Amino acid sequence: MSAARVMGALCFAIAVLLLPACESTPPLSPTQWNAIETRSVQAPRDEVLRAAAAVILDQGYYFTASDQGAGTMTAARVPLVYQDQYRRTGGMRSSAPVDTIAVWVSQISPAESSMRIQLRESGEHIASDERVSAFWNAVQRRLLAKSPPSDPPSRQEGV
Amino acid sequence: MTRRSALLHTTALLALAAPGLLSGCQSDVAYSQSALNSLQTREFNFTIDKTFDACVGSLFDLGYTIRSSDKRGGFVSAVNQGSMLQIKLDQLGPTNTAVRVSTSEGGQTRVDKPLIDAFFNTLERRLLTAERGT
Repeated sequence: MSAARVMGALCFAIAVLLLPACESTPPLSPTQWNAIETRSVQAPRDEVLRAAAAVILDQGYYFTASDQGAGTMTAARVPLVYQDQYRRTGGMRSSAPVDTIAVWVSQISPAESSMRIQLRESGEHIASDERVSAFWNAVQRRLLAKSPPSDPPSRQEGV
Repeated sequence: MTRRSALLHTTALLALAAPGLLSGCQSDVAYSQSALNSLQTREFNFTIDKTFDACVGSLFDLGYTIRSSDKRGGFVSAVNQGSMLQIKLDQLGPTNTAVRVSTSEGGQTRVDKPLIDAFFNTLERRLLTAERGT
């Protein structure tokens, strides 16, 4: 009887030890992350940076770091479920989990830039093609709104 | 009989728990100043501008989020779930840059050799890819 109990305890312990090895999806490689998070934008680097900064604010994030020279911006926002914890533990200095977005814009050519968008939810790195595309679309909309209007059609004088 | 089974129980549980507990007793390797410097620093035959961009790209590739950055000063720091990487770049010549990587965990400086190696490998791959692309 006691031997059976010991065996049971052993089996349970082995099962607990082996469970972490049963992850269904393998971690993504750096190349895969790069493919998911990178988009190309037909605009100069500084314009893309300005548009991305505006979209970050539109989406309710606050900036935590930025470097114009490097073309990087990091911003955070507090998820609704953690807002109480955030307020009670020091606000912006609190260790409450936050959602972050990190954007890196680099120049490919004078009229083309590459934009990398990294998303984290409560500290966890998110691989979401749709959300990256949604951010990219918002940046492109901003760029279109900012672009100067095309030349008006020439008027025929004397008509 | 009951005491024997209790003893068996305890022994089995201790035997199972031992590897888990022992892994927590990992002691940090004490590096000399020169060993630490050679472990953390590598030189690349690229401009500081290209090397800095590749460093930022490598941090993104490894899932790190930029916490602070100063391209002019040649400094970047990034975090990923309690682990922090700090990078300092020094221009040694027009096409020669030294990169120093420092790792810390839970606010304490801790030399994480596999992470430093992974970072340098990713950086090297990025620099070589960029070179082929141009």
